[in-house]
Amino acid sequence: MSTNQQSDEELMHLLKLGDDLALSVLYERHSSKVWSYLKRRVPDSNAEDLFQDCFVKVVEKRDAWNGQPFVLWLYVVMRNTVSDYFRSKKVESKYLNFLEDRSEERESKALQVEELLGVLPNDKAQLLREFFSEGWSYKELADKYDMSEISLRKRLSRTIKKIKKEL
Amino acid sequence: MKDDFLEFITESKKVPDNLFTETRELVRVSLKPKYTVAKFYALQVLGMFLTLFICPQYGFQSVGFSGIADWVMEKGVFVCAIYCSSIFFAGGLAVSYIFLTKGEFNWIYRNRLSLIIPFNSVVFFLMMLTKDMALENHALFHGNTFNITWIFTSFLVALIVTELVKLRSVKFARVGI
Repeated sequence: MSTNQQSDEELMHLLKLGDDLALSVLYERHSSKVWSYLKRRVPDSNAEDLFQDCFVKVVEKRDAWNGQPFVLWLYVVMRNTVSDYFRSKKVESKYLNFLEDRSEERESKALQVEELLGVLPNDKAQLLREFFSEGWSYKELADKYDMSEISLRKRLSRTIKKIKKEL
Repeated sequence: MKDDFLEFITESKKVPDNLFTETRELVRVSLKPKYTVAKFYALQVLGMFLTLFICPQYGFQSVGFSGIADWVMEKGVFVCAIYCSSIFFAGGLAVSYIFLTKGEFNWIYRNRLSLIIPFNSVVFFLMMLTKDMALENHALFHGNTFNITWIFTSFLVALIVTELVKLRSVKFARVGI
């Protein structure tokens, strides 16, 4: 009997023995079903990758096939491939949402800090700006304000604590 | 699930020709990957060997490229290790990828980490073992800085070259080449 006339299950037995002709026939028989299914469920560019994933899994997991109808087994392999894809997308979108939230949170905090700087006495606000935004060192600031480094650190620390409390 | 399965077995849509051919080749390689792995590594070794002709450590100075290597060596150990590793691995991979079919390359791409990391590590240890046989035994090649930079550059270069070839193949596939 030629390979083309054999049933899917007979071809799977041959595929398990490493027959690449059996693989080609199975692929030609079922690729359009898999493609049609994927096209309706995932975007075009991903459908191509998943299509390849699905058939690579058929080859790699051929030893796990235990005689059930091939089409059903192929369907399960394909469904798992699609589920994995949506699971990874979900994780990806959760991560993107998290990043978005974080950036919104940071922006709102930055706005709050600016508002608080406006409320602080001018010299303290100026000191914070110089230290955090303009990158002055403790020593440079201590020289500028004519005080010891220890006093300057204390003043900065008190001001920061005050801001943290307000936030 | 029942409806979903019924939909699966009753509906079909023609697979685009490019994708159909590419996937058929890919699954064939997946069935018997040993040949592809052997081809990938053998071609890489050949390419790497060819790069040794312009290597001041193992190479043949008479070919006239040593001027570049001398200049690189003057720039210090980092630049030298990055240059050496980049030429060595990019050269090897270039030869390999030129001779691989599209299906073979796709399979390599899917398994790139598990193929590249052990191979580069083995090559690294072999190069360490043969260091004393090199034509020029410059002290520059014997420090840990050189070795560590060399091996990390090898991973990075191999992954970058592989990604670039993948990008190129995707681009050509889209215009039907």
